[in-house]
Amino acid sequence: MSDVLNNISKDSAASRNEYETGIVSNGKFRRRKWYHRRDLRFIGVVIAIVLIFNTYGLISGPSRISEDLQAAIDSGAEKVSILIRAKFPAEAFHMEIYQKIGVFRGDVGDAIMLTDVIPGDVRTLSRKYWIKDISLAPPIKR
Amino acid sequence: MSVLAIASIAVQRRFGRQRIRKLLLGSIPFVVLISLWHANTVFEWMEPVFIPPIGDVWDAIFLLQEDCPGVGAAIALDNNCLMSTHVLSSFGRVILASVIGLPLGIAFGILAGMNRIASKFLEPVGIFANSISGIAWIPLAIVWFGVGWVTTLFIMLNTIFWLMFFNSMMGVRGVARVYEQSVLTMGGSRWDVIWHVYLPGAMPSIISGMRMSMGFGWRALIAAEMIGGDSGLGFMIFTSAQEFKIEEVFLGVIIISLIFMSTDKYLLVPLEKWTIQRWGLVWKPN
Amino acid sequence: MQQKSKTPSLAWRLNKLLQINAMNLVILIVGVYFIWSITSSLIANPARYLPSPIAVALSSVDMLYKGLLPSYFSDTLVRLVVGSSIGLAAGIPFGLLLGINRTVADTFQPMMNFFQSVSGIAIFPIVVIWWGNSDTTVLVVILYTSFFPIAYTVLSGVREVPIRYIHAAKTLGASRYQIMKDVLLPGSMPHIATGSRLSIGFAWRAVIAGEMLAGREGLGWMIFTGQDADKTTEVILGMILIGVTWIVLDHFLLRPLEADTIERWGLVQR
Repeated sequence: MSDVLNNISKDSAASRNEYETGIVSNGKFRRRKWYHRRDLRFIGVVIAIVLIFNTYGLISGPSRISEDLQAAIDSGAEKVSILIRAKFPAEAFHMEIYQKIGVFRGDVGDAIMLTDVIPGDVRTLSRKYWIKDISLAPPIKR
Repeated sequence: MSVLAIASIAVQRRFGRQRIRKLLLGSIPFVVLISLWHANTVFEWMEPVFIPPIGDVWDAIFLLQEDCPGVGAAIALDNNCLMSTHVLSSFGRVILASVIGLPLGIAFGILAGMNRIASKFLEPVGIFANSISGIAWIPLAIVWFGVGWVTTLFIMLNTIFWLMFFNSMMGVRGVARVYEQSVLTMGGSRWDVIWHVYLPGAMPSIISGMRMSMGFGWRALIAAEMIGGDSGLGFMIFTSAQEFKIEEVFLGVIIISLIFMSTDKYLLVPLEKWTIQRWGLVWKPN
Repeated sequence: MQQKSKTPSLAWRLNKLLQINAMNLVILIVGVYFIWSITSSLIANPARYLPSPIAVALSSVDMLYKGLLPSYFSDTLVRLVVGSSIGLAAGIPFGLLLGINRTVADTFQPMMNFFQSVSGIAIFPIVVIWWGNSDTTVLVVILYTSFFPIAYTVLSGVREVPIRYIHAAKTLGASRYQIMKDVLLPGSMPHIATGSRLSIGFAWRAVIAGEMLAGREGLGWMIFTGQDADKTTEVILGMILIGVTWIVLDHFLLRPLEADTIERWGLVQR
């Protein structure tokens, strides 16, 4: 215990001497680690943001698909008709995305109905964070 | 010695061997390019809508001008004399914007740089305004001024002003305070300080800023004419592209590049050499 | 002699306040906010001509909520990265080639001058006739714009490697490939870094312009259609984003990369 105390007082004495005389006695040259560089940290932050964004989408995706839609996909349907409910009325940007994956068939209430959608596209759509839920569309009355 | 050898030695002595060598070597790619262009028309590798025949491009100069009533109307920017109207209006905007923008930018920059505290505040403003490139101002300018010549003039003015402001402010800040203090000690007024210390001291910055701002301003002007203009070279090539008249597009592009190359080579570089050589300053900011 | 009592003057206090790191930035932002809000409330039709900062902030939140902003932003950034990497990958070898051999440089430099003065903006109509309003057009324009700065910088960088080093390598029996790999390439690294920064700056401007002109979705498209649809908040938001993105990219990625490259590879002339 006493030698610890002695070392502490020696350290502070050394640093005080350093300060008074201006001579740095011990060469504590610390090599700059490569991961301390500003640009690598920036790239790391960007990659982290992208990863978090996509992981959040992956995790919250299945929760947006309703059960009957999930059942329809699991039963191996090639194309499904879906009702997409977003948190707001759809704008041109969203309509473009919808029309890329399926045929627009009009809106039912506050949801958009699309037909001829591949299940893979349904999954991709469900990962977007601005979608509230996607459910199976009722069959079109002929 | 053969006549050819005597003649070639005489030509080399007169014009300089290296200069002739550079001229000949430098023209080889052009010759190759033009012959490929002509071969494209002759052999029809690509359709004429993608690469027009050379004759069409040359004829387009006169075709665009053919409705022109006369030289007077051409100078008055009549809408029928398309070629001269577009070229002259672009030129006019360049000259007007430089005449207004360069002195304004330099003046504000020097004033901002003189006061150390003000320059510390205004430096982020300059950095931010420079990072919003002149092209990104175009939609805002269209909102404010509508589609027309005011927008295009404003864009070029804006680009030139912020670049010159930032460069002259940085240049003035780089001048050691000793000089200002010595002029003041010897009884000089503020104007003496500006004229004898700041202006020469910031001159390399200002001149290279001038060169940069002319380059960026010219490009921003072409972009502004494309998006929000109603006359000018950019407008001409953009509308010709929409109408698929590729010979006019080629013509416009060649004219733009010739104008830019000649102003850079015969106006801006000599200006830079003259001032930097005169003051013996070789510092080139990045 | 009596000692004068030192009450700190106002100027001294202001000076001390300013010395806090980045305090001038904070004061500047606050000042700009006030000037902006006041101007916006004074003019006739603020919603169209100069929306107040709060309106712009609300519009940004709205666009984030609807998933527009991340999509536009990432589209633009992806185009920038892809276009400028191809441009750099093409420009660096070309510059090296031109720098090594003087005959090749003399041959190609006038043509490079010519094509450089046709800026990416002026080549856009030709490219749009060839490829239509597609992503390829924007990529070609970015490539074109980012090719020339890096080629010129690398060219001058290779030329500035002192010839002593090349002679020294030759004395030690280096082949041409070894000279290029061990002398010219490391010697021109600082210039490559500086040229990359210039070239990515040009490419960023070209992305915005290309998106505006070719109508592909992204930041440039956002400000262009915002003006068309009379949503000035989107225009101003887009402009601020463009400026901030470039400053962030420059300050955190490009300048440190350049500084570190110069620190590691820069030639110290004695």
